[in-house]
Amino acid sequence: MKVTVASEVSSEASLSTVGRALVLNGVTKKYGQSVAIDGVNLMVERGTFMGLLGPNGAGKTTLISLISGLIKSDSGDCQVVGYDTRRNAARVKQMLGVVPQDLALYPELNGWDNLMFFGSMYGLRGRVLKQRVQDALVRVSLHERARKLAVGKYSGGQKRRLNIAAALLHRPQVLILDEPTVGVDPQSRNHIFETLRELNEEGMTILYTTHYMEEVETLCNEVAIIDHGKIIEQGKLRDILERYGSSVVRLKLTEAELARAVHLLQDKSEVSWQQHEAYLTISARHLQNAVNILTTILSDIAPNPESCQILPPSLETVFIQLTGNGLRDE
Amino acid sequence: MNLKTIRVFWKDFLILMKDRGTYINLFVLPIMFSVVLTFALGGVFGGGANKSPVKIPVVASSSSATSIVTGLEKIPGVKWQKDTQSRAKSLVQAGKVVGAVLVSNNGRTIQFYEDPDELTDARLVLGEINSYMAAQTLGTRQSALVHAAASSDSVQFKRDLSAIMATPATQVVPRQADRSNKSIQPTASEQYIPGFTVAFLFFIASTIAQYMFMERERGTLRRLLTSPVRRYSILLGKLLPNIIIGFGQVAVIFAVGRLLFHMHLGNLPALFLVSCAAVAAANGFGLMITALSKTQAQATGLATLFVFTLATLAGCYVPLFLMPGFMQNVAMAIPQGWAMSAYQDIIIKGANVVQVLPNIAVLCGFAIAFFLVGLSRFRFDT
Repeated sequence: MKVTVASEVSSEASLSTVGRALVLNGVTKKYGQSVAIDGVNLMVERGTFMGLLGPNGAGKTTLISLISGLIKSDSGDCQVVGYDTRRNAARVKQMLGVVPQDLALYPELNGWDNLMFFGSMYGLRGRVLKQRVQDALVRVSLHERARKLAVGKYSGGQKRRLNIAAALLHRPQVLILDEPTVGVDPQSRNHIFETLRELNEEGMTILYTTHYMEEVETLCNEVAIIDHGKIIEQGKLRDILERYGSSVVRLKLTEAELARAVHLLQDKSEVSWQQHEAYLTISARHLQNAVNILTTILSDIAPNPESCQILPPSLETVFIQLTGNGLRDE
Repeated sequence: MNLKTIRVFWKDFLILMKDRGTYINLFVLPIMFSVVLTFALGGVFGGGANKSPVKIPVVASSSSATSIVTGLEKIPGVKWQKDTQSRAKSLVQAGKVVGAVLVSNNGRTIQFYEDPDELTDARLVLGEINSYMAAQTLGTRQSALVHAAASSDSVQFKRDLSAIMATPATQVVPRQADRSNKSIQPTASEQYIPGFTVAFLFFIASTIAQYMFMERERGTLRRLLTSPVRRYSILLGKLLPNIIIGFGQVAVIFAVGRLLFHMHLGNLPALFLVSCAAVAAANGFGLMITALSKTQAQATGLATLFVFTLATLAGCYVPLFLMPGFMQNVAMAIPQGWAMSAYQDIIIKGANVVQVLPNIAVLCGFAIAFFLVGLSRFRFDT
């Protein structure tokens, strides 16, 4: 069965192939006195798989809503594949696929009818519509049961996959996914990952928001971190890890051991440390420094600690370093 | 209307058709209420145009008696049927007829055998018989006097008789009541069939709110808004199934009234136009309630509160003529009142399109006002 790739776009869209997939320039959005998006600048090259990270309430959903034309910015410009989201809203919507966090499907209808409906909203009809629906169902491996069951009877993973398929019918050049793997089993998650990798390899630009850092590390080649309505970091994943990544040693010690270890660390400027109850967390820009300190503590102070962990540099540590440890209750 | 509107309509229509609650709320409940109440309160209402004559058995065996029966048959509104004495009496005793007429063989005595439980109707029939017989007797006596005068030699007698005969008798002239007279009272079916049609036509507001909020809460409205479809297409597409359901309600409930209770439907074009205006007002009302509510529960609660309260005020459940004057005026301030009076005018008084045009115009006015408020306050953003 032929599955048409994302790069086969309409001739009208292909006129705008020059330029970036997404460009946000000084975009600001306020709700009353509250600034949801504060002068955001963001550039995403075509074919990029970008992870958009941020704590709860940081502005991710507002940013997605601005890009997809659901809300209008108070100031600044937003372009999708060269088209301004205000002046060319209809064209932007044709180029953009949005996978919402909600399972935005009709549970009373079967998968086929759901996709036929959403496809028709993009002006598709007749044989073309049926073929696109079939292609999308094959892509998410739901073609065999699409007409048999109402979506309400699908498993969580199947609903998530159909939720993605509904955004692929019009073959968008840019796909935005808002936490697409919430509540799915590992098998479905892996299938979603494979589908997204395929789409990206076919040329589709993907903006992926999630709270699961390991998903971004697995899938994305670029990362943008948003907090308090501002993009606080953006770049290639490996560059960010190199720039901010710290190796972390975490030990659980007795009260006496803890006091001696803290005394030792006060002279070590190459590491930073935090003490919380019986736990001592030591961070070092270079793994060697962390290992040296750990070796000293194990040999001189606590040869048999209750627990000991060495964590290599990760996006999670970078994220917490940039956005802080404080709770973000929306 | 474009293809996307039709697609939205068809999608919502499919979902509505799978929702059994819709059938129960919008079709089963009004039919059940109207049928049960029509059967239960048929005797209380009475009223209406009774087209079936009273059947009275009459017993007459001799030729003299038969000639009297021939005369009785001229009494309007009574269908005389010849019978035997024993059967006529048993019919009265069984309560199947209000009375029976037993004419003696010589035609001199007429006995009216009446049902004591139906004295009101029986005495009406008796009055008719007495009137007829009195007129017959008077006619016979006049003929005799005229004959006597002709054979008399007295000039004075002839002159006096001529004067007496020339004096006109006091006549009671029957006139048909004006059908547009508002004092005509409905039968139970003429009250409850249009009453529950109007009440539940506006109950569609609850369904409109339910489906609008469902679209929003599921996130599908947000998804639709990210596609290149115009907002009015979504809104119109979502209202269309409810418009069809509204016409379906009117057709089904009135068909039940016609088939089960032989209710007279009156002028069909007028009925259709009033239904169009009422369906439009009901849908506008539903959109307005949805737009003014923040949650589905709030919208459903408001719709239920308003729909049943306004239907009561409009005389959908209790005839308006039983209500105090100020409440009858209130009925004319709400769309249900105008729809109800239009339907009853058509069904009971035989009103035509021209006669219900004011009602149609007012209902359209309500529809426009409701839609304007609804459209101006409806929030697409989630």
